[in-house]
Amino acid sequence: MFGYILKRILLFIPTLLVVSFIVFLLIQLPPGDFLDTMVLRMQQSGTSMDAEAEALLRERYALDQPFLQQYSHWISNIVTEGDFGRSFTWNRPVSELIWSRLGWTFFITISSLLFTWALAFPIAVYSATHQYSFLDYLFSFIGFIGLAVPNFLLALVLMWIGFSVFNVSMGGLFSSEYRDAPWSLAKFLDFLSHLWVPIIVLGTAGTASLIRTMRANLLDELNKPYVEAARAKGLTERHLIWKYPVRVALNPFVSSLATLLPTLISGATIVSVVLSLPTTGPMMLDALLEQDMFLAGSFLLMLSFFTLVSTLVSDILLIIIDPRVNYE
Amino acid sequence: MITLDTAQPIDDIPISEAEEKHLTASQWQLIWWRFRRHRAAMISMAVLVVLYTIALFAGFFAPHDPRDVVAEFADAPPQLPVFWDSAGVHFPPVVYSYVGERDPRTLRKIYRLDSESRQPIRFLVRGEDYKLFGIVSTDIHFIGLDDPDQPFFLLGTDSLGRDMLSRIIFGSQISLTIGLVGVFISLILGILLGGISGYLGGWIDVGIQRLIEVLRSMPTIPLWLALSAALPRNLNQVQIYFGITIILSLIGWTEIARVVRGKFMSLKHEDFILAARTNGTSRMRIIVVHMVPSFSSHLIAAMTLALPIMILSETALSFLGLGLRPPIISWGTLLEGTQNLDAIALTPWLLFPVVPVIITVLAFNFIGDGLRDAADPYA
Amino acid sequence: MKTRILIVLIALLSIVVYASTQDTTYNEAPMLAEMVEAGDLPPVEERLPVNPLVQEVKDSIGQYGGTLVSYAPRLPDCDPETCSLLNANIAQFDYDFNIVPDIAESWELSEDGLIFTVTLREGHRWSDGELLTTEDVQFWYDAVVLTEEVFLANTDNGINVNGQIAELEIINDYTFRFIYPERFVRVLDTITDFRPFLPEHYLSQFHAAYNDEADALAQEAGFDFWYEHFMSKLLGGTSADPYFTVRDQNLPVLAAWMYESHNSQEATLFVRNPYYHVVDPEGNQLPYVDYFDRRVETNNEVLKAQIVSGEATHAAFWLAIGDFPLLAENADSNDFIVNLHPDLRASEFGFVFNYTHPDPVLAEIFNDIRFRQAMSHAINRPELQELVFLGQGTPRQPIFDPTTSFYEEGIDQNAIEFDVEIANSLLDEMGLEMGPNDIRLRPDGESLEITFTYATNSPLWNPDLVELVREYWGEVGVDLVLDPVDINLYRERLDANDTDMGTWAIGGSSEVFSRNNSPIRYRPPFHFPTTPLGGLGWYQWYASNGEDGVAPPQEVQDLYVAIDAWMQEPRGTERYAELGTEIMRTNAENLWLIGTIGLMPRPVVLSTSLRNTPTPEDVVSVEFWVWGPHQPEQWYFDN
Repeated sequence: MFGYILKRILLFIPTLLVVSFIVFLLIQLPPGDFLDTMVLRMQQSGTSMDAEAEALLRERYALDQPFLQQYSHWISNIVTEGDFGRSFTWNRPVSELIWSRLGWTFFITISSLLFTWALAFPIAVYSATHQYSFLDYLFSFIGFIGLAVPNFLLALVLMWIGFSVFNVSMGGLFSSEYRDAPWSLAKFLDFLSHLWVPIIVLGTAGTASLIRTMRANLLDELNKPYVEAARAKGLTERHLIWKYPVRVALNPFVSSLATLLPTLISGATIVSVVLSLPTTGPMMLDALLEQDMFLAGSFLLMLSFFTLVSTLVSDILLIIIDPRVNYE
Repeated sequence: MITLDTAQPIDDIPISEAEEKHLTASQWQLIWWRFRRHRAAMISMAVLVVLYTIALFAGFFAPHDPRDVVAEFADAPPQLPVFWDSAGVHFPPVVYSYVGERDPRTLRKIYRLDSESRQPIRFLVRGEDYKLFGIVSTDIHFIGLDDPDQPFFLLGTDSLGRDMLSRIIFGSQISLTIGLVGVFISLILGILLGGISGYLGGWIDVGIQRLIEVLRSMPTIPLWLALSAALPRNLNQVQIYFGITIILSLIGWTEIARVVRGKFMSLKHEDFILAARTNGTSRMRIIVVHMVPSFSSHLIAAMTLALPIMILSETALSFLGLGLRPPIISWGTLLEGTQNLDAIALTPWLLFPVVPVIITVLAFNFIGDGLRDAADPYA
Repeated sequence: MKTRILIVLIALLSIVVYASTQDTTYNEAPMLAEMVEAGDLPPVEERLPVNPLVQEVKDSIGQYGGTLVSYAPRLPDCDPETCSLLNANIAQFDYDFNIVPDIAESWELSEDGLIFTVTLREGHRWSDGELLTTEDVQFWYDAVVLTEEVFLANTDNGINVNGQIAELEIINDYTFRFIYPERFVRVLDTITDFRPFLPEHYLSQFHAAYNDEADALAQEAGFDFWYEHFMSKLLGGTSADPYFTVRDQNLPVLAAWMYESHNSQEATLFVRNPYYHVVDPEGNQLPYVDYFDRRVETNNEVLKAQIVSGEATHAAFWLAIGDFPLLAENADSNDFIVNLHPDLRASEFGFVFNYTHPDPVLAEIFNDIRFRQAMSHAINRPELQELVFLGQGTPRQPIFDPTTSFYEEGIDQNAIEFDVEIANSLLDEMGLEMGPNDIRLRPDGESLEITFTYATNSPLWNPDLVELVREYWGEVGVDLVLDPVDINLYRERLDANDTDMGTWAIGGSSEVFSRNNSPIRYRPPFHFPTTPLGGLGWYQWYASNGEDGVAPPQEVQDLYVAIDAWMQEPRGTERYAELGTEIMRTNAENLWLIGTIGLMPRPVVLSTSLRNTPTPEDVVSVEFWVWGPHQPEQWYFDN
């Protein structure tokens, strides 16, 4: 087992390197480069840049260098100095721009994950113990609705409801009067009143699958002889369920750390764009569209790093809590 | 002579007809029987049959040409069928025609109902010409009005006065098939790579597993973004459609590959595979003839569950402006037009395409659920 | 005696007011008065120049206080909505779009157009209290213009004469002149976007020529080279200016508001510049409003929701005619007014064929005036106006707007009426016979198919309009194949001459824009040469003096000549009007650019309590940087 864990950790680094390479390749794949976008933007606000200036800047930004050279420069700077390069659009070091946004992204995805767990766990246990009851059907139906409604639309509609019914703009995570204010109870409440929209939108999308897997696993366990034996020995039904079957059926929760997180992060990109949240979403999308390559690359790299770590953690946890898992 | 109970011929054991049927049934029959017990899945199946039928005969079911611009009825709200009013009960129901006028202050187009002009809804009426399957020329429509010049927009119109119902119906042709094509590509990739990984094992397995891990760890949006921006130039709309499908399936195959690999790992050591191998059967034949069929029910379940994700992905891609684009009509492109405040606030009927999306996704999920439950018929 | 081209910039009125204010005391905002009281700031008399700029107020003398709030979808862009409040140039536009002094007290161009003399205000101070002198001009010239490592887009508007840089000569502390290598009349049009001064006392520390430690400073700040650091002080993003994303409280500026702070949501707060050089006729130092809060909402719909819910005190640039109904329905309940103001855009959309198409058959068709007339007649503009533009605007060709000094009534109406019959007969006359599927055939027997490539992720994209035009042209047998592509790819294709047809929202068509930048709408390729819409080959021929590209027909050659001459002629002369008329007529007759609906009014949102703001008949246009001529420094909140 420890050999396996060690192997996984050792494999982690080359995997990350491959990811970084693919990420960088993907960003460079679309035609054009950052300067093309920049010239177009300038023209849209009525100014322009002549071709010589463009060529000069292209050289300055090293956009004329071959791909491999750009990549090795970028990755070696990250590894040796923690320098993620500069954002062309912002004319700032990337590291100045990304950390707070990554922080919010982690916060929102983890909150959504917790929300999903909190929602899925009781429902799954109830559904499994009351199979084919009315509530079992109702819960699965609601879960599936959450899965079926496109995230962006749900976010837009919730935003509109917030605006037209409560006359508050749901955009962002704070009302404008609290954006600059230091943390206080009022600010915290204001924060919560904004936070529920993205968390509901993201959380509901993943709940259904978790409920279904957990319910199925629990049903399997409940039909096993040891449960019958325990029941025959006179264990109370409550004790009976919580003692072993629920614990065993918890596996999907642990593995959801690996399967759900990438989905949540992707979902968060769209939801953040709709709600203009201060997460990675909007800035990363802009950076990708504008080919601000170091900024976009660093975002992608960090998000992939995050999901890779969560996969690793979930795999190791699975082995620890359930030694029967085949780790070959 | 000692007779043992156990030596009694099996024929003599009385078994009911039902049990006999069960014992002699094929695997697929067993799955079907179990599947039938899943009521939600059965209803979903019926719903999907209806949806695909409508998509197939879109020209017939759509009351209008989805591209027909009717300037005087731009942004018109849905006409609700009326079953009774002051003039009594109507069967078939009627719709009131309406007239639009621009509000001089807000410049918004406001429609006034004319409750005196009742237009009965007819079935199988003659309307605009269309070509069924692009070949048969006809003008019979499923529903319509006697007078084709009267407004008939059950789900309202968009900003160019195009009928939303017809657009949704024609949009289903793309949206209901893009998932199928995508899943099909995913399936091929998944079986191939999952099979290789599970059957061969070793460093190939490690490599493929890493690849899957890498793909799954990458947030999908940027992956789509880069890939769709990198679609080769000079593609026409149909080619773009396939390009987008391939992009979607590039991510979808990993789940199928995982299922396949797991099954291969466990099947590898089963007796019947060993028997085939000692028989000198070729590797390819073992995989295709012996292994794949034995878990095809699992595969079908996994595919059914992958379909709704594809359909949702199509809408998400369109939302981000990366997927299909008008003039292609799909549920995604229809919803793309609603992603603004004006639509939600002033013309909320433009959001209606989300209803078929939800219904389809639900139906596929229930069917997938039912199939998964039924997939192990001997359990 | 020869008439001298002398532009007197001190309006008579301001001289009178100046004289009278010499005796009066100046007033200042309460928040500044407090600082003066506390000894943190010198008194207002010492902060203002000897000769401050006296600005007439639009309605009334204002009250101090309050915060202006505007929204933008991206932080780094210096969009007109933001930057027109933070500008400080040699000159500015007034309400009637006359060019009047701003930072400079006066200027003069010699008669031969070779020497341009500018006088700064004596005692004018940067926002940190240091004097603005010609040393700051010399610094700008040496540290930016002549330093190869430092590159600023558009910084050399007033000194770049066809690639040659003017010489700078310092006369005294307040007067300097540029000496041009050749006649350069156009400088008079560019000075509203020309600021040849930088605070030497602050910025020289970041420049290697002035400070040996500049590289070390740069590395400390996380930059590789000193010039990256230096440039980051000049522009935060890579946009054209001015300082608003620099986020350096110590950076001295000359604008009405200066950087104060920003927050995690990228909202940037600007505070009044205590040394701002403008006063109202009663001697109150401007601006009236204390703060300017520029917020960022990355999603356009959230941005609109903020405006609709009354969060913005002013909004115009990000609004389009389609937003009007929602704004109008919510205006009263959310304390803002929304009006449709005249704008000057020639056409909301325009189509340019590729006149130098690599396919000779298509090129010949496109170059036939009858084809362009037919295509214009085939567009049902009244319907388009109703469906896409709420019935607003005017069907017209993309020609100069009616405020143009040499405008001729009706010049924009060539081939404007919707007439399928005329269109068909013109196409028949050309010999483009109708083929199968109601699509016409080219002379070589192929069907007449035009691929319409356009950029989707541009804010100008209008799918409805594009689909309608496809319908209209289909009616007369021209098959338009829609090819929506990413904006970068679009540009690449334009560059590669790989399009049949180009399109862009046809702004940049006004007299002021044409003079201030270049007359991009009136000569091939009908846009900036880096994004050519059509006829790139002709432009290449022109730019290379006939060595490259495709030799254009005589009328295009004449057009290039006329435009060059026009740009060398000062505004208001007879010759200027003659040449302008020639340019206008040639374009109108030849229909190289086919327009749709033009002069589209712009929805403008203003807080109900905001005063001295533009009234509904005032032009609010991107051609004039939206708020620029409307003097935001004299807006105030009526409490």
